Amino acid sequence: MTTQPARSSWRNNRTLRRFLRNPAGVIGLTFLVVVVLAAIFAPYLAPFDPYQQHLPDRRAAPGGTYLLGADEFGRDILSRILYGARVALRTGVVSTLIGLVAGAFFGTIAGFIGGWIDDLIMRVMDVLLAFPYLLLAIAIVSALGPSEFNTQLAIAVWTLPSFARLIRGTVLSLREKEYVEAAGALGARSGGILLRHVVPNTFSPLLVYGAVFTARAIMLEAALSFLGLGAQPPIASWGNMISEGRNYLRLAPHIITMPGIALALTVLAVNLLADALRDAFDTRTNGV
Amino acid sequence: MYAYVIRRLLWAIPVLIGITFTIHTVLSLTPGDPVRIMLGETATEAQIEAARAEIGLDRPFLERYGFYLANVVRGDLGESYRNKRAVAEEIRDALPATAQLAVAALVLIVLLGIPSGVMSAVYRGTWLDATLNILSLVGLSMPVFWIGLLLIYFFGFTWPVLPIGGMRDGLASFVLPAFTLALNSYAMISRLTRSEVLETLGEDYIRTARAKGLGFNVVVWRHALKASFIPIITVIGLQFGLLMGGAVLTETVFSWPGIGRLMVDAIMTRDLLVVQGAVLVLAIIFVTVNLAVDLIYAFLDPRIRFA
Repeated sequence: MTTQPARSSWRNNRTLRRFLRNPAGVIGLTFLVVVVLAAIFAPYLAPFDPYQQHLPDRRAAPGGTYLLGADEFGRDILSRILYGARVALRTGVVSTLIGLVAGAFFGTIAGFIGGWIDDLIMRVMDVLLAFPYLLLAIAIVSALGPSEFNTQLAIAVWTLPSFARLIRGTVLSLREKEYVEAAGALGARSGGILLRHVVPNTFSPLLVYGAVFTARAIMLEAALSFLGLGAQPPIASWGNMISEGRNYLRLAPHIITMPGIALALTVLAVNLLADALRDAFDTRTNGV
Repeated sequence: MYAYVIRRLLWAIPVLIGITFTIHTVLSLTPGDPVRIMLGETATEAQIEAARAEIGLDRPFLERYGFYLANVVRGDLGESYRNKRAVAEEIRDALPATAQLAVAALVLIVLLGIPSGVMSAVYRGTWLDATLNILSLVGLSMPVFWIGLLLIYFFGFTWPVLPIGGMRDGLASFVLPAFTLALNSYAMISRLTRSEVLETLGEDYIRTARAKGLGFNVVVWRHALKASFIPIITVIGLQFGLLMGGAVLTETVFSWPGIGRLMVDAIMTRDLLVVQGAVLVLAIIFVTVNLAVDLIYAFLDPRIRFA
């Protein structure tokens, strides 16, 4: 974990150079940029309206008019994948950000104030972590009702305790550092120390964790959509598309293959990026 | 040792209470009137009021939580409104199938994940390491439900050699679901094993062992892997909990008659008590497995129990 003051351009340049030397990370980042652009410009790139049904062309094979084929209602799969990228990225980023901000808030308070507040916050986090992957999200969405925002909220609740723990650990180790103690001895107030010295140093582990959890959030959104608990049909989300194509697996496997490839490649790209960031920042985040 | 075990056991109690509280809170967030949903549109106001009083929905939140907790402690998770069976009974019937699937997946994870992690570490920087690394990253990035469907397509339709649904075909019916369920965790264990073994290989005593003439394989498999076992066991323990959760997707894809599919069916019919009951039971299993792992850990590593 980084322990030096963060605002040293020399260090950041070294980090950047280390990142650029890692081909896997650069490939991941490049692919991700492509996905982001595809999502933003989906209305211009999509050859068809993603909701327009062409019933005579149901389950049309890839190639020809429909580059990646058509689904069971004759909707163009490529167009739906492009629009689906919006749901995936939006959910990945929004839910990770909510979890990160809330987690950073609680983790900083717990680590900096300590005492019974620390105990209380961390016990609540323990309880949230005690729910196996996916289950808390399922419980929340099935209670609140399926919608894109409820999905994002549910995923955020699931990521929150991991961020809180990470930040608390970083804050605790920083509190002992000489320069933080020195700032205290020089009369800086704790709020000031927190903002000037502690918070900037949590950026690099947060960035790595943020990338890791964005990948997981995209995957979790697809899983929830697959179970019928995400964005609701006819909205094009990759999980929805796979779920709808299930019944035609034998006759038209391309209906599930194409969105699955988009999903797997996007998650892989984010994972490659996270790995490269971890190496570049030299952050040890075992078991994440 | 005893003090540690007791402390750790006592520790689990507030966590379990916290779990029931979270589930109860989530359940009470349900918009609309659960009784109206349960009784359907034909119910009269009087019937609805009676049902509300019967379930205790007219009481304050904490009082309802008290009731709920007391019932959970007695093993009463309510009644499924789909088929009027006790939720606890439904879960008891479904649990063995899930547990068997999770164990099968766990065996695959250990048998494939640890060796590939060790190989990756030993041949660090070679093409073998790179290939295994990419394989595990790909494994980590594949959506479980999608892989399951592809396997069904290839081994059920294109080249029909394996059963693709249910568990009536004995051991053969485990192959595809267990492989699907294991994939993500395999990748995690392999990556973890690699980094742990790499770290141990740099230690002085490993160099000493090599210097005194012990063969490379003996050093790696007996010394380095042994020293890496504790973190690996912890994560494997955590995986078991994750597997119970991941089973939701795998069971849906393979029509596996376990707790995951029970839960998904319940979601579809908005049978909330079954959903909450299943989540509660799986969370309790997760906590218990973690507890067991911690205790094994303390048993293996005296530094922890005397700390």
